[in-house]
Amino acid sequence: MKMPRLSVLIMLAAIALPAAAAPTAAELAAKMREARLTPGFEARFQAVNLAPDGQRSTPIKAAVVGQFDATRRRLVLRGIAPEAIRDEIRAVEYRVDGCSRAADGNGPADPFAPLFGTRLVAWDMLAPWWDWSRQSLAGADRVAGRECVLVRSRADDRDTPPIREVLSCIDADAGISLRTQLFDSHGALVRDITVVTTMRKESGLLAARKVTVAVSDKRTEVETYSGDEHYEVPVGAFAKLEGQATTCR
Amino acid sequence: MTLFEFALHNLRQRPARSLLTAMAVALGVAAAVALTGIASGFEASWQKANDARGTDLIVTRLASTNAMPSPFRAEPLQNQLRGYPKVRDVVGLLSEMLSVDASAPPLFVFGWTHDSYLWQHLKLVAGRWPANADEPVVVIGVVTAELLHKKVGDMLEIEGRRMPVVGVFESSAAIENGAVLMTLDQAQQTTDKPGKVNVLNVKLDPAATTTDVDAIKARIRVEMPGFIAITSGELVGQNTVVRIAKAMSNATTLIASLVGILIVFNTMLMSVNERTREIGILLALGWHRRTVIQLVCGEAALLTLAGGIAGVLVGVGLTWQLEHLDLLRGKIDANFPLSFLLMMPILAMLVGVCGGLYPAMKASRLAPSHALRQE
Repeated sequence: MKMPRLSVLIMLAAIALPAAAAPTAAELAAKMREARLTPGFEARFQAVNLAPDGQRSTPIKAAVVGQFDATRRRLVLRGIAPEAIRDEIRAVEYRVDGCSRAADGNGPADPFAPLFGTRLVAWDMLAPWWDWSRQSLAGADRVAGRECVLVRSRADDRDTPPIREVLSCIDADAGISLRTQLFDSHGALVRDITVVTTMRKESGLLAARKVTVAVSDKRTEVETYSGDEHYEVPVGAFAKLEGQATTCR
Repeated sequence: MTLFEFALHNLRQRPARSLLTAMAVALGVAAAVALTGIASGFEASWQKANDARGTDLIVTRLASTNAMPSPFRAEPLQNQLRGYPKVRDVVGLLSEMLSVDASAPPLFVFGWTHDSYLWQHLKLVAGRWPANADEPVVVIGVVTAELLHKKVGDMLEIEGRRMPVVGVFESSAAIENGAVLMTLDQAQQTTDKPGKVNVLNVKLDPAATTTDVDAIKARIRVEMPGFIAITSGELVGQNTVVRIAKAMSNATTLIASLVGILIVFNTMLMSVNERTREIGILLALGWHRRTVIQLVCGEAALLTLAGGIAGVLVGVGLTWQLEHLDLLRGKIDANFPLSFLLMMPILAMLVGVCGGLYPAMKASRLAPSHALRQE
């Protein structure tokens, strides 16, 4: 009688162990938050808008400086080329308590407004949904040949923000979301951000090198061409945000 | 008629098949030659650029396996390195791949410490060098000048900054000829990396021995965590692009060899099957089985040798064409060592012998009485 009992125990353990090892959605969200922490980075990217007929716009070049810590994430973006967007500034901040603020060269700005005529949105770059408390697993998928876990993040509040739900396909070990789909309060897809190519950071984690941002049938291809993982953020880099009103959820 | 003449005669009897087989082999060899030449040239050009500058050691980040090592603050390391024995000079270099013209592909933009030894190997073709570290000007390589249709006095827009071209230079390294050069200070300003470099070039005393070099490398490993000191050859060997290019050329050579063996195998098997009666007569006339093997393998070797020679010529020609494409000008400086070019037809011939071996054995095992009954 002892042997069958032992077998049953081993079988149960074999079933139970992998289940126990699988991380929860909240743990995955925490991993994603941790992967994004940085005392400072600088990157330059080129964005090209693609019309539904495939026509490509003039390349838009911009620089971004960022600082992500445990309490807040800040970005300042500066247009480089063409001439029309040169030195156009957009600064945005998101605090983990749910408050955010944004500014441009003239004063307060909308963090959800597209950047430099592309389909890129500064708010998306801060990925605030990893701080939302409602996280759930939604299965698994494969993006660009890589296995990823689907995590559904739901906004806590009904009033803000305009993005109510985000479905991310993440490779948590690599610290990257391979596809991020943002939905509005009606459940309609607002933007789809898909990673095309990646690059390895010094930490061994991955970062997106090339992404596609799709809004209905229009797309923007964004490619990072230069970067500094150890950027020393100058004092006053986020000065544009000073004095701006914060919006809290 | 010698065996060689007999084999040649047999190939001429089926000109279309012989030509097609030789062409297929030639294509495989051409692809392998072109890719290997480009990979080897890319490696040689990077090394030539580093060697021409007179750099003995390169200090860079440990994880720098990318085409461009990530930038770091130069000053603390520079000061420390200057205190090392046998170190004569330590100069910073910042390099980026940037698009400087909407119609042209991205170019290497180098920032070199003004008045450092790095500039000494360059030959000024027109104009002048930057007058001081703070002068916001660029000098461009001859290939860049041709590619962008720029000359001294023209303006170049780099990362939103308009900078005048004050000189055109020529270098022994193709990579530098296809680059834009400015002072390190200007490159740091342009790319918003103040005080940063992605490589420190160390020049040693001419009296420094390999033991001294090894000692410096070991000391850097201990005293500068996260950094590595390597020779230009080692840096090039670690470069991801060089590694990928080499892996691709090796894979192409392997695939071309396997395809070549199969093609020759098929051709010679068909040939032997069609010539069963002829081989039977030869065996009945007293030919040794070994001679029949030599004949069939000889035919296969001749076919692939011809394909190999043609492939080498096509491969070199193809690479020359690629070098002169606007998109790739200045980025490809193919290198074909003579030993490699001579080896390829020999490799092709070996492929031929391998592919012809089974059909040859099959032919030699024919019983003359049975073979003579075949129509």
